Amino acid sequence: MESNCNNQNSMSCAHGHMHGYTGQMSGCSQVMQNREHMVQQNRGCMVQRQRCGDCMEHNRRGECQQYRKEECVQHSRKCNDEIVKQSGVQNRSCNGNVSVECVCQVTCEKDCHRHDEMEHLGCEFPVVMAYVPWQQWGDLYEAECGLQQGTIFKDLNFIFCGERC
Amino acid sequence: MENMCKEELMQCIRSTNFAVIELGLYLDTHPQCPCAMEKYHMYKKKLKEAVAVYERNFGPLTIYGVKCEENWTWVNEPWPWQEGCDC
Repeated sequence: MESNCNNQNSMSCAHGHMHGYTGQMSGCSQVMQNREHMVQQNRGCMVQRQRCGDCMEHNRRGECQQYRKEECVQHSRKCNDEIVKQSGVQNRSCNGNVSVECVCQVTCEKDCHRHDEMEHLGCEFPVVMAYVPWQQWGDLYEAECGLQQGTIFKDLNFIFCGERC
Repeated sequence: MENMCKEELMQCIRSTNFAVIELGLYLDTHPQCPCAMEKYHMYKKKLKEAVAVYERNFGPLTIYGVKCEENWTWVNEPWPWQEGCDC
């Protein structure tokens, strides 16, 4: 795959944009490596950055929400979901395990049919609006531990580490 | 739960009540989630049992827990700021 970035192993590319999260060294092209359907699209760092600048919303992995939105269409096909959804925020409850291919972070397996029938919340992301990544059902702490941590949801426990994550 | 001391029961009530609140908040945005609903009912049942055991043995936790029909046991000592209170 042709790299759009001069320095794939740096935390910042030649364009001066920061990459990656949680210490993982990922340049622009590596961010896209796990998204096969995105390889065909000519999304250079600059283009993505422009998109990021539009919505300014990132999830925990540092991915642009608007960028992720457009992956939803591909993701639906990838998950072999019979209900083909248009691009938009996914809002599903599922007991399936998280698939690493699910870039939209929707919990599912390829043969999982336990998605509910809630539609995507529209295809539009108007500007100057704040968007919050949708919480999925995940692992829980025991009640006693949850009380100590401040939440029973492990996904919501952002442990303070004293530096930028 | 019957074998728990007062402090252990109180801690159980605190943590279980917290779990119920957390799950309620999650269900506010995910009303159709079967996993959350199951956990909610489980913790709610556990909380109800813990409160019942506590109030039977140690007195009311809220004004709604006063069982006695002759005396208003809610004002029985110790109050939270008094010595001997485990609050």
